[in-house]
Amino acid sequence: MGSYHALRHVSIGQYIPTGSVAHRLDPRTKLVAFVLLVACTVITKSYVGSLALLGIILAAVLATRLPLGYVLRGLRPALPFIVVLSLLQLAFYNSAAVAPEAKVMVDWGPVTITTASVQAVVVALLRFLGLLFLTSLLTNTTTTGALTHGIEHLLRPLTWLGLPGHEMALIATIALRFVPILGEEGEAILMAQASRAVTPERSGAWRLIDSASRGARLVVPLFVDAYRRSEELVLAMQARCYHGGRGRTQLHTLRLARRDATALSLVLAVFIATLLSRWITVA
Amino acid sequence: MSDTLIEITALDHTYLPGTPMATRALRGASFRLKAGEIHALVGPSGSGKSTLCHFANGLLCPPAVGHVRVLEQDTGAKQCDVHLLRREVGLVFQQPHQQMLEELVGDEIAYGPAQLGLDTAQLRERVQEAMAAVGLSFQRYVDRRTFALSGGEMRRVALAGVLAMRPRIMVLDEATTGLDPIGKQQVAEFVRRLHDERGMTFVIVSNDMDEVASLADRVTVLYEGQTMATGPTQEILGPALGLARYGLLRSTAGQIVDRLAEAGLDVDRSPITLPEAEEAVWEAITH
Repeated sequence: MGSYHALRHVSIGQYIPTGSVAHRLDPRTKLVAFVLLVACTVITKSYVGSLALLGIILAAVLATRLPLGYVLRGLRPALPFIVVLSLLQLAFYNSAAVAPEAKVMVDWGPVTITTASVQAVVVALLRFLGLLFLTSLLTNTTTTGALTHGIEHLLRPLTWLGLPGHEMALIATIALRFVPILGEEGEAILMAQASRAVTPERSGAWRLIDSASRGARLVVPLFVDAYRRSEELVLAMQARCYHGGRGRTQLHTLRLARRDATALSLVLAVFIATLLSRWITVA
Repeated sequence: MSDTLIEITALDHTYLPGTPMATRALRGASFRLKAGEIHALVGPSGSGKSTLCHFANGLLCPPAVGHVRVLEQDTGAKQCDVHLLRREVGLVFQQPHQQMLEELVGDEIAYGPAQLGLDTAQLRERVQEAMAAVGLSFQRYVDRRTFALSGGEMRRVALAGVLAMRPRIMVLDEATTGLDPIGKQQVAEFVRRLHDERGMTFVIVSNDMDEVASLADRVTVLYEGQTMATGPTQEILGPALGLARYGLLRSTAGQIVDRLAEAGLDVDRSPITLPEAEEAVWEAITH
């Protein structure tokens, strides 16, 4: 039954109160820090740089007092995709065009593995891990309400230009909130399907095929469920006078504190260091 | 000012009209709610109870066929203030998790009043007041995660979220479904207290006839989208109407006296609550 619980391990989108400093930071600070650190993760292309950045992000995760095992569990549903994509990249990476000086390690027909393709795969994996931790870090320490409020404040210049800043913020946060909810719904559907299945579960290579087949059967009921849920959410919002962002107030007003300045300075320092290291490497 | 708060006349409603999925939910339904009463809407599943509630709250309007007047506003009229309706007619959904919008209890309860543009102090006051009314400690619950609450706690947060908007009418759409007996009792006590102390008007949608018998002043029976009967609780839940025709059972007390009468005891069959039934049986035995 364990495989049916894989979707429950989606750690992204779930607020976990631990009372850490990161939890008390202003959501605007966390959003800006998130964007800067994502940019750092994408910019870095070397082994050392990627590892150092992952170390910094891990240190931040530890500082939030979030259980590391829980954050790592978020990897589980994505693991098969990561493995398949990594193998494809390793086998078919176009080293000749990107790094012609790279040393060939394996040359087997159309499959050529070079030092450059290995580096690309390892850096991509570290980058993926970094992005996953960063997303967990943001969503596990910030409530959806605070996120909406923060994004709305940051997008305020867009509102002045007549663009729907509040609506964009709301869409982003509802999408994040629905990740674990849909995970649980998907799990319930899978178990309901399995409880009525006639054929027993198979092992070995068949297991992967069975798993893919289960996934395909999940799409339609999950889509219908997501649609029903979204309708219910709209009704619940309208029933409580939702009318967009104009004139809406908050129980907790946003206020920047000294800890926000400290956190932003640290992240800015990491960002500048990443830019400098990239510039030095290119030069 | 009239004492009729909601008046629905000959209302028809079809979901997804003109499509293969078209479903006719209401067929000429009527309903009248008077100020200060607890009015129960009963009927089997699919009889149109929730649709009627959505019309009362302004979630569905304007009606294609029929008339809906809520707080002296015609919801079909162009000048109808839908936001005022939604503020004055609080709707508590059947599944509390359907109406949870925020991660923390305090934010969840403040969601409705926040739409009204109140400042932080006023919002805090509303949240505290609503939490006290449903028996939730502000200190203990304000920063708790909404989705980690038990079913009973979640239901109370849902009630507080609507109550914080200070509505004149509260519509509870099967608000006790899925709750354990203690949870049901707590919701019933909440309704009774707000009704007695603040004179609040309630519409309770329920299939639990014991709950209806103990709480409601008046009852409306819906069946296949039509209003089959409306009147005082004693009359509607009594033996004369024949609730079984509409897919409903009498209250436990009513069923007990019915069985005793069928077994040959000369007992009054009108009781709808257990104390009434006890008295009637005692009377039949001693005389």
